Amino acid sequence: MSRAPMLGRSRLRGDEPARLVEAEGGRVLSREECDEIFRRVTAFARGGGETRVVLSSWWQGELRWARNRVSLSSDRRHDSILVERSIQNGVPGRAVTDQLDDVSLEAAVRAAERASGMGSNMGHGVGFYPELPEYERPAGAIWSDATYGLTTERRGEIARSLIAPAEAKGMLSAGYLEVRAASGTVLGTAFPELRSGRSAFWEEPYQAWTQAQCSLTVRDKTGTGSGWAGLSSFDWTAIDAPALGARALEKCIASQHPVALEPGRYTVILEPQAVADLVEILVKTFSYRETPEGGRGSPWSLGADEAMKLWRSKLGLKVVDSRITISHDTADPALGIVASHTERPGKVTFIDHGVLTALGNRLETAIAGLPGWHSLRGATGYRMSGGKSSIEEMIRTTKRGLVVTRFSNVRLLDGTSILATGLTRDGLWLVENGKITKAVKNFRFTESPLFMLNAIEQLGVPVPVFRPTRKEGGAPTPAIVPPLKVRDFSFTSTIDAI
Amino acid sequence: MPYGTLPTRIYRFGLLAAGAVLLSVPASAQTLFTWPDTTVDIAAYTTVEECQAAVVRSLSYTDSRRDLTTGVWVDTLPLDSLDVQGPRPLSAAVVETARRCGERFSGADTVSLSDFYALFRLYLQAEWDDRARTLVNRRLTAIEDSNSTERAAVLDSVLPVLLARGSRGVGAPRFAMAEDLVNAWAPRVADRVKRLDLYTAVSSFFGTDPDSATTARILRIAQKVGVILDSLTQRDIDELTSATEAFGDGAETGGDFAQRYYALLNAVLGRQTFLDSLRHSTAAYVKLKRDNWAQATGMLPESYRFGAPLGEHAKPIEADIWLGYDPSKGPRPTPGRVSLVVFLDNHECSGVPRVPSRLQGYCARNLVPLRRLQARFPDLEITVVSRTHGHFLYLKDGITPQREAELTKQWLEAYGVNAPLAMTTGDFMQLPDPDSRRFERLSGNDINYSFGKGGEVKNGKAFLIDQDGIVVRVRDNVNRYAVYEDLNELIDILLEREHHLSRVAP
Repeated sequence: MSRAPMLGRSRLRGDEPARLVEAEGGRVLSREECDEIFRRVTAFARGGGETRVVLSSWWQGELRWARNRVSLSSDRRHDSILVERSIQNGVPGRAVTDQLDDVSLEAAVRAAERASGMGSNMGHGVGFYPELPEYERPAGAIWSDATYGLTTERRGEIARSLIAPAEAKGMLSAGYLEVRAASGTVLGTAFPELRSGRSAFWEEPYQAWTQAQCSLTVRDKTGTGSGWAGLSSFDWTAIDAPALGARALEKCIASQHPVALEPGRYTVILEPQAVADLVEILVKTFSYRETPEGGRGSPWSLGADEAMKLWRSKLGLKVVDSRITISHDTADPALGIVASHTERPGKVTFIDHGVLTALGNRLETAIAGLPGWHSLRGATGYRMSGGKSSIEEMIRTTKRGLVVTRFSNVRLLDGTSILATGLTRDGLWLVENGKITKAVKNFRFTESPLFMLNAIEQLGVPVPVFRPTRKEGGAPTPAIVPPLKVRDFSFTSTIDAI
Repeated sequence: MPYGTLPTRIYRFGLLAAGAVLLSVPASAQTLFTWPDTTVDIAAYTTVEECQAAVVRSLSYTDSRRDLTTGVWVDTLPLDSLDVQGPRPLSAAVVETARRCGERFSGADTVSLSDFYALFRLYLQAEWDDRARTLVNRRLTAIEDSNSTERAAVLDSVLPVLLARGSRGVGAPRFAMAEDLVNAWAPRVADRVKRLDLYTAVSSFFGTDPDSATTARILRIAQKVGVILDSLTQRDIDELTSATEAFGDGAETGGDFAQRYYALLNAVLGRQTFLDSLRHSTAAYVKLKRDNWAQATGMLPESYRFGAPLGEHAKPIEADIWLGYDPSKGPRPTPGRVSLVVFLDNHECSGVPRVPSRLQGYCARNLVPLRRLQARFPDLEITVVSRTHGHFLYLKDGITPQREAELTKQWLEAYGVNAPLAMTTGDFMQLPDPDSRRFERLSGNDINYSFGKGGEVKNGKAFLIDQDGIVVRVRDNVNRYAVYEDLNELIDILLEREHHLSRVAP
């Protein structure tokens, strides 16, 4: 068998280049490469029918350190080609491969065709169908060359610059630095006669995005103090790594030798990261209005309207403080939201001055029953309104309260009230009569972001926060939130973790 | 010494040799995808449930292969005479699967009765009818004489299986076995209403025209039913009539007792009796139907299936947009013409197709049979009634009511349905922002053609109207069953009457 030609880069062990990042071709599939793979896959198809190919690729460069020493440094990449074949009267059959050579692609096509032949379906294309609508992906800034170009050596230099100050103070630093890029597209051959543009609305034009994140924790060697700082963005230049390092170190020093406090309800000053950690479970519920409007359980279900014989949601009702507005705009350069091409363009306000004004919807719902014809996945990134108060001013105006750096291990307890539990971490301080007086041992909280956003006393200026995407190749969900001072925040027990 | 010491040279030579071997192996000799062995080992199935699962899998596979290998879309084909008789015998492959797996449970005299129901089905699937009969008799014999409730329950569970009702997968119905069982055991059911239920169940048949064997069976049953009916108390009758379903003039068989007794009476009279009455006049036909209904339910004839429009006057169709018809010519249905008014709405069958697999003619099961009706009866006046929704399939941007009507007409014509289209528009409400959902209001056609029952007229519902504007038949769904059910014969008779009247009219 003759050797099949490779696409752009070599995959065999003997031919592997010494430095992966300098391999011929990019680290993620380009638009032209995706088109070429699609052309090859469709050329391999036999038996007629339709072909659909889902192409995605990601590259991730990461560096991890602990106890002031780098423990991991890697560059990883992955390509995924999902081939779907629907042969005449067959059900769609699928096969996935991560190899780009002809032999592998052809094998994937054959496997998909075999699976398609296992079932049957109605006649393809029977009837009349009008021209497919064309959607244009909302413009957005989601690619940064600075992120893509952050080399392994440069990541090492950054890590050293973050470790050195902590080490000089006799502290232990641990952190994680990651840059990633990903691309994806869905291409197909179905119904060419109905298409006016390149992509049918059920496909996805090519897009690529980047994301960077940097976070670190500094602890003292006695294990009583811990400070954390972190930030993520699609653009590496928006992340000031030295400032993060300095803040984490400062918090660590300030949180040493904490004292135990009685759990209970406290006025809390939540730093933006803490606000985002708790509000995240709220914004996730903005996803699909079909749930409450289908009579299924949701925090936004209002109940049945017997007179009109339908299920109502809380759209139009005031749900949180009137100073709160949560919105997103796919074109917002400070956010960097990866959007689908059928997604509603422009600014979408989910909560407008406390009133629930939008929930996500599927494309079918929009076309069949709503004013527009776009889908909305919910708050895949969001900006929350704020005020003018600084954290220092919030402290100054607090008679007795707590300053919280962040929450961790947040778990949902009740879906209707969005009641959640979690832990405070990496810096908790007691405020008395307008001054921070001592570091406090961490608490477990049991609170709902809905209750929290209804008990606001002061708001600060919104800033970007750390919102990493844990899934490999996953799209980011950025957030810009303010610090908040909230009354009657419920802490239910103390914990020993720092 | 050049090239290093001897051990080094041997080591280097070994490396070179290994490299030569590796490089000589074709780099592209990758393992191609091979399908895993999916052969089912029946011998590994040790329980009756597993055998049932194997048979169902075999049945599903056989069905899907039939569609795949023939490429024929069965849903749009007319029924053939075999299909009208109901479920067919199972294929040889399915029977073989049932036999191979059921071999270890084949001793009907000795097998445990704890898996009675599943075993009973398995025997029928294996076409071991004698063993099935032995098993069910064993089961019934094991019940104490005083426990007629359990006896009735057992008969209640085996009869639908024998009659191939609802539960698929046992092949052709076994009417003879069902009748024998009921004759042998129903007299030992103390509850007369329950006994009546069992007898009427056995009187069921497929299609609309019972053959001679079925007619004989029905007549035998009718005698027994008559005896029980005469003995019913007023309380028994109230219990029966309160269970009456009164929605439309749907299937003549199945459902609760009143439906079945009504169907039994119809079958005893014979379909030709009804058709003859229709040849005479629609009023005679309606009277016969209503009188049978009254006898079955004990209610007044005027209450015939409350909400069913049989005998009602059909109102003129309202439309904001007419395509294929000039409304200045007069109302539709046209007085003096036999008409079929069909409510069709592609949004209910196609919805908003979101993936290519949804663009596969999901509405064809209604439209293709309608095309056949149109071709078979050129003198039948067909009108399609629909409404705007603000979109057509996935198309919404820039859509107008006129455009939506034109697209709907194109959709109908793509299936060969050339009937005029009556489209109503503007009958919706929009909830206030931010909810903004759109809800369709009832149109004038919904109100007129629901005949007091309320609610919108569902997609596919068809009304057969005689030349005097009287509703003769309503079908919930214009699908392939509509093509060969009595609808065809009714249309024939009505058209014949129309032609006769046009000949004798001055």
